[in-house]
Amino acid sequence: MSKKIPVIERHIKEYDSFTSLVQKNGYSLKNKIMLTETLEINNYYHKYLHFPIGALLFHMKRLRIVEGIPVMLENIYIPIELVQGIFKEKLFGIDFHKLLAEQYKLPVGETYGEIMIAHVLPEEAGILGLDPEETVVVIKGTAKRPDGLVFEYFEQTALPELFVFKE
Amino acid sequence: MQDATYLQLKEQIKAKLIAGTYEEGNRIPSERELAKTYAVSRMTAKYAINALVEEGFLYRIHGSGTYVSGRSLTNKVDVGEGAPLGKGLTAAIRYSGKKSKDQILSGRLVKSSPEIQRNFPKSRERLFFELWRIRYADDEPISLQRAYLPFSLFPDAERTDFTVVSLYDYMQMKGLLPVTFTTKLTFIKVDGIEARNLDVEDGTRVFLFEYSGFTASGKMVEFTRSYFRSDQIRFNFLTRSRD
Repeated sequence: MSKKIPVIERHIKEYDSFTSLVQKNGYSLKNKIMLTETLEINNYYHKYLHFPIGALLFHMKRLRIVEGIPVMLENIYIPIELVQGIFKEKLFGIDFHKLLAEQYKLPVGETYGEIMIAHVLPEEAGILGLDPEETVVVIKGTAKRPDGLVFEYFEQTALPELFVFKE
Repeated sequence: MQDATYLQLKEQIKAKLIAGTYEEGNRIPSERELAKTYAVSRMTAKYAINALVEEGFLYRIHGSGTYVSGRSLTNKVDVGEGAPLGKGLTAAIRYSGKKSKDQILSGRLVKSSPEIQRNFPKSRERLFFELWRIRYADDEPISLQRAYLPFSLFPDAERTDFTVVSLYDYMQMKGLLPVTFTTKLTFIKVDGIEARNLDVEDGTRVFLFEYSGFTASGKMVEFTRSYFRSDQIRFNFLTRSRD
């Protein structure tokens, strides 16, 4: 990759949406929605979301493009009963978490999860322009409302140079 | 407020888990019992338990109850949120059920360099004590740490046997224990001496934590660069909204 990868500083203990972080760091952001679908909650999602197995999930996969460079792939999973009507929303060119907070009463109170270094998957390598042998930073976890309701499970696959976490 | 109540309850239960009041493998009180004991709603108790299940402190058995886990759900050492806070890496390693061991690679005085100066921006120190050590968990190197202490504050560091006394015990003896830190986390590739000491191949990507330690009076007493093997640690985070 010849272009200089933008570096985004983020606080290790304070929540900020990616859209807000990109703006605060002075960069331009574009989102490409790659997929929206419904899925059934299986054992894996149930572990994180505590909604019944078999209930439906809204799944969105999107690519985050900062300064013209694809930097992060994001998968978001939300129980469909919390976001009734989401498929009618315009999801392109908006701050998705602002939409969740304002339209669906799902403001983020806290997020909890794990940051790991993992080998890039073949699909991710193609999209992010990485060598198949490369590693990426994977951030996965859950988002809760301030009242403690877990409403989202997320997985983010980012270029390793993208984030600098600070405290 | 509901959110504050559930977080308080979560921390109270977590403290009991860490203290061993609720022992590994045992069933904890039901949501109904917890709600009664702590005078909170059953929903608050449910959210607190859910959070501790997510963090790996508890697990559920359908139809039976919620039990205390061995915490180490993977073979990795947990660092970050949920690890025994403020107790250091040794405690984190032990908490994960592994044996902790340190190997001192070198402890020597070095002249200040542009790199050191960058990390001690307000210091006019000309000499620093540099301590290299490897931290092991069950004989596997998990972290390589390079710490710098100002010589004028720790003039006898070079004579101290850090295989006998921990760095922070030594700093505490000097009345200069760091109590607040600024931290930076990046993800870098290591090679050469770092890769060899971590027992990984050249070009392996690792966690790099760089932190500066300050005393209660705000004096900067430490800069440390810690490389962590990503196959050996699990870094957990918890972010909270400022709103």
